[in-house]
Amino acid sequence: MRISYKLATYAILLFFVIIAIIFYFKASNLPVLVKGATIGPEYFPKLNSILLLILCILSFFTTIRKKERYIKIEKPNLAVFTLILLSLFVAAWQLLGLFYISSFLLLLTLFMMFNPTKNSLKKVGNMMAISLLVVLFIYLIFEKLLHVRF
Amino acid sequence: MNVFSFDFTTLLSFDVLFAVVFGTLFGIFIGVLPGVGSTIGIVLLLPLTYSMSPIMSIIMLMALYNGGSYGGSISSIILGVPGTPGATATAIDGYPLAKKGFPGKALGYSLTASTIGGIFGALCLMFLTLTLSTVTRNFRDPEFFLLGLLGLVCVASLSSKDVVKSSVSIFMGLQFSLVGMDIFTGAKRFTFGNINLLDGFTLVSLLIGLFAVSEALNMLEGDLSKRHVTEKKRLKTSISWEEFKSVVKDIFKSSVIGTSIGILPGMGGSPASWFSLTEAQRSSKTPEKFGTGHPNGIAAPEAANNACVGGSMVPLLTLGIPGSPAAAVIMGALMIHGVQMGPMLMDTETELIFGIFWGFLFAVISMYIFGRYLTTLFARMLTLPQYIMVPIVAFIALIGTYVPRLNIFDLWVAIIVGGIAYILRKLDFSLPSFVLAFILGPIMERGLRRSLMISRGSWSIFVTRPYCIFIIVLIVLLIIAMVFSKAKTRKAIKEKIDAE
Repeated sequence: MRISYKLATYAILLFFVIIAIIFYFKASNLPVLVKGATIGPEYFPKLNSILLLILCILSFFTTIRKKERYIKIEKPNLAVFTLILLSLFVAAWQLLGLFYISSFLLLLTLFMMFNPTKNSLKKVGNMMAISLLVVLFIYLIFEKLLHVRF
Repeated sequence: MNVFSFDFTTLLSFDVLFAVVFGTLFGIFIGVLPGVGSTIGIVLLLPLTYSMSPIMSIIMLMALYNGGSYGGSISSIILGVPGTPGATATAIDGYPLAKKGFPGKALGYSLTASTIGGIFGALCLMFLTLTLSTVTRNFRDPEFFLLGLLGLVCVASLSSKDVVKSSVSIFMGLQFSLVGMDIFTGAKRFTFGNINLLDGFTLVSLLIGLFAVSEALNMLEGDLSKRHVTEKKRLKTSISWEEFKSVVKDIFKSSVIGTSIGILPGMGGSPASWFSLTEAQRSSKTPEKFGTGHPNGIAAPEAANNACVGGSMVPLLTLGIPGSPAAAVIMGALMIHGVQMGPMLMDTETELIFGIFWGFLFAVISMYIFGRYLTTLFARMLTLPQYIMVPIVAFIALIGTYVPRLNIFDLWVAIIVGGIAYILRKLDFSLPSFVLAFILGPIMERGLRRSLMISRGSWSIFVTRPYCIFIIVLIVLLIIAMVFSKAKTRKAIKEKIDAE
């Protein structure tokens, strides 16, 4: 997949500009100075937001002057699926509390998804074994040794 | 107390020995694997340090950092694929020498140079930290604010090919650092009603998102079935005394270059190795032989790469400003152990700092021993396919995000930031600038507000103190150098176009 460097940059800069504006208005609602203070909690955020806005506009113009080029994103669907799977894993852990089962399923799914070899029982068996080993490693090191409760 | 009165029996305790051995082995292992790098290695090991003592955890992470800098050269030399960014320059002569039938010789030059560079960096760390701390303990809030500004100007000008985008990254990092409860007034800033943001974003979740998750996504673009097969014979790493003499001058020159560059925030091993390679070629009697397997083309970048490790810790231990992303993660580890970073660190944690000095020196020597006898074993790691490595790296990184606060919210932060960082990297935004700004933001704001409180609102406090004036001069000189450098580059490009 090819995406325009310039368009992608404009989109990211717009995102940053929105963040700067939101932060500026949020900072404006912060409580006023307490006695003895010269600048309050709103000063630095407001200054930062203004400077961020100016730099985003400057970057916008420097990008316009650049030659157009395209950035290649190989296998974007893999990256998207990975992020979705990681999110589902965290959601399952947060809502259902099934950390080890979710971990095993996440790892197995990722191994199967990334492994380009032909599907077979042997492949499934190997990937399940590796997933189990990793989960066991996490259990032994973190839960048993470091007493971390998942 | 002086550095030689340190209780050296501490280094012989099981804890420290384990930290040195495990950190070095893991570091070399991580360095060997292309695309992973020391920063991710340190991030992965960070959760293990929570139950360790501060000295054990920092020595382990620094041993990893140092080991990773050598480990990257193993895949550079054997496969021509750099294991770490700092080992890219090594591949230029390392791989051709290996292809000529001398992989062991090439690794010998690399290991020897890495060890000497590492020792030089460790000694500089010791000397410079002790010297500079006598100056920095006089620093107060105005100096802290200006030092933060110096750090940001440094990283903006040095760390990315697009200075404006580096600057945008810096202000985004500052923006993120302002989230949470204001320490002066208790006001909740930008928490959007989310109780998890009262203490702000955690450094660990941002680091893991920015470096580990985004790198894992990046690795998906390559050939996932790739399995590097190596010839395990002739990997014995040794060079003769005559061979050593032929590279020793460049090793010492490169060690100086590497340490100096390491001290500058935002640089790291990669620019250090390239500068030293360029200098070695320039000063060589046979510059035309570089790129064909010239020993100095291996020794110079490797010495610089490892010297950079010690150099990057100097601003961290003297000022609380990390010299590289890996040093930033080590700083995270120190903060997790309740160590207060800043110029007073030498006074408040003298035992710890001396332990770090000697432990690091010990780690460099252990890197030589393990590298000498175990390189063949590490080379075997290259047979691990990417489709196994990527999920494991991503998963363990996420677990590492959870461990500091046992809060699942941090995992969401790491995933979202990782996804965005994956795109930002492709668009030339600077992730190290973001991280440094995130770390310096609270220091700068605190320094600014306290300074103005002391001076009752007068900004003259920043131009009437001698150290402040010195730092302002440095900032101005850096900006001038940056402007000249850009103008020079633009002129060179214009001349090239006109010539064509």
